[in-house]
Amino acid sequence: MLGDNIRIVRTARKMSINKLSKLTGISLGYLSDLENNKAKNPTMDKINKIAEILCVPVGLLLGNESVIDDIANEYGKRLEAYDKPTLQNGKVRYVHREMTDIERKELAKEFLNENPDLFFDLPENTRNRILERERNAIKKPTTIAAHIPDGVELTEEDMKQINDFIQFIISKKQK
Amino acid sequence: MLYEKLLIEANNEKINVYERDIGKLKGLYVDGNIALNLSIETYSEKACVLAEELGHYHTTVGDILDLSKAENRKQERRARGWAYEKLVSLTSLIEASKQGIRNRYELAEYLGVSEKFIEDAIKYYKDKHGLYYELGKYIIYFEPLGVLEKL
Repeated sequence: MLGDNIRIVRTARKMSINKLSKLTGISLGYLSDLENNKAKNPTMDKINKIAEILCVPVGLLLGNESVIDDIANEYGKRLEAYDKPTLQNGKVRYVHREMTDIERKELAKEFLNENPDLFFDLPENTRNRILERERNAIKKPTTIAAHIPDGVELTEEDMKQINDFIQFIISKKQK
Repeated sequence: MLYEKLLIEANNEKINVYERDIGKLKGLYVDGNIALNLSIETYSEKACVLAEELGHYHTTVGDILDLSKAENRKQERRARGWAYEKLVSLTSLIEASKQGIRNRYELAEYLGVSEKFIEDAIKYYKDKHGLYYELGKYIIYFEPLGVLEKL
């Protein structure tokens, strides 16, 4: 849940709820409601602000699949081997074994869903890379359509024109 | 003029319209921004392309550049349908008939769109409604195009 995620990450950053309230400009009462999952519909502006102050990807707080995936990829690389519980002769034994890449990622995802603060275990440059990737993903347009004559597929030249236009719009937005 | 009317409508919806060089593409829609090819010569064709892009604003969600996907083709058709119903509405066909307009050329002139657009619109209506459609006391035949008043 969003509220739990905010609380876990905030505690991991050793920040009091008072301080977070001051830094984000969101009232203490509202933040408390948010952390206790009482405030159900916070605006994206507020969530963005909180994520920015806590230095985590917004998607991590929101449980956004693609962002969790991205972090799990990085985090999974750090999971070398683990003790897998297996049933032998009716008894549970822990067998030490190597994991495949997919298993690593799945396990990392499981961990992350429960403990979003694991994000801070990553080295700083990796964290920044993930934050950067999220920012770029938000910039990418969501709805896009081209007018081409029937039955004709987009050529490389067309794609270039489309990307030019997207860049043009982004530069307009930033001004 | 139809093109200007659509520009005002776009403006009211806070959609930015840019006329620019976009190669062989006629129009582009990206998140509330529309690009129209500078090289489109007639206002009637500009209006048609702009209407389709507005159709995307009203009906399309997601990146639908890859038209080999059925879902994307469906969205493309929906956007075009929006444009047809906007510029060549069934009531405007009845109105045109009352004005004594008898062929496709005159109709294109009357509505301010290209002949190709009329052709596509009629095809769209035929796919949607079949050979004819009853509207109030009128019956609109799509092939050949004609409007009859019920007695």
